[in-house]
Amino acid sequence: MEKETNTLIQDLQHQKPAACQKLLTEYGPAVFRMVQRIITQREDAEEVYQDVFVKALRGIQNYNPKQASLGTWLSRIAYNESLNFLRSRKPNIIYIDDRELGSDSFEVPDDAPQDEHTIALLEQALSLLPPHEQAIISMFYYEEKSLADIAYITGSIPSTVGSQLSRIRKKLYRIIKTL
Amino acid sequence: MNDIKNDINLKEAVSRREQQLPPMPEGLNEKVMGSLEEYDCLKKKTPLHRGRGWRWVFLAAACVAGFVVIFLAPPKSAEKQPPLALEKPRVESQESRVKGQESRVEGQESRVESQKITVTSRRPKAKSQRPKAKSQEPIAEPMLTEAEIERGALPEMNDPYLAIMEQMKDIRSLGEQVCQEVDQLMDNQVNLQ
Repeated sequence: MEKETNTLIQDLQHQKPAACQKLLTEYGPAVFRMVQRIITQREDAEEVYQDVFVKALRGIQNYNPKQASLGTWLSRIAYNESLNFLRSRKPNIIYIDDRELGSDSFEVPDDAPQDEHTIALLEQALSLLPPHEQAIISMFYYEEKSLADIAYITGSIPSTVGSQLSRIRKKLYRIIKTL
Repeated sequence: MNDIKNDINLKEAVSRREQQLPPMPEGLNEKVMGSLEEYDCLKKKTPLHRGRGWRWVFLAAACVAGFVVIFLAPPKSAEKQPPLALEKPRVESQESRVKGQESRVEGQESRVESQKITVTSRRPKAKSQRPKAKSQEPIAEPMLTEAEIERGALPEMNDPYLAIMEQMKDIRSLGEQVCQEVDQLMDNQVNLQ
């Protein structure tokens, strides 16, 4: 698998069209998912998805496999491109700010049993989070990425990502109290 | 950290939300491939830039022109050259030098007869005034033989010091003549008295 990836990287560095097609087939869905988490509009997401691969192929010469895997590297580009796209547009969605939810002393239930009502509320609460926080939560809980990988994607450090996750979780539970 | 990981409710909520996301549209990758070729990200659509070849030609032409201007162009004016470089080398041919020497010898002989003066000193020319001889012509004047030196066949020197010395000797001889005449006149007057 690693050998195949190395060959793919070499072919991409030599700008082989077949390698590009393979990259899109293998890594495209994950990249598109990352873009969609942040950009909900379908047309905008497709545009950003395209930009991600243009940027990736232009920067493939600078890609260092020792820093992160190819998929993580592509996710980083997708994350940054999506946020840059949102910044370039006027924000028309208002997300819930931490200050509106009171103090951080809110107690989060530990090891709570699975509860359909709580899950439904959390689903609603997730949609109220800012896009970058939704992306971090999804990478951790759905893709089960490590803190180091999330830190690489978001341009942060693992300990900061851990703190962010803890804060976002508390925030979610505070949101569902208001729903 | 474990609290975060063990939150099964949140994990389930995230999972359900992710599953609600629409799948990637079909044909999107083909569209992206087309745009990648358009953006010159692939070799297929990245031939050599047309202007690049001409750029090299212009650069080479500029280099050649610069070489011609620097190395092959004549100097702008002769005035800028140092005066020494403008002087023509005064290298006489063997025959003319021999003739000149003969004439000088004749002149010197006549002068020796009249004034009994012989010039024996010979100063070398200053280095800076020495003409640069071409490789085909003799580099230095031929050395005089002993017979020529005895005959006094030395090159004439335009030495101002020697000229003044000669004039002084002439004046001295004239003074001596005047003194002798005065003495004779005095003697004649004494004899008459």
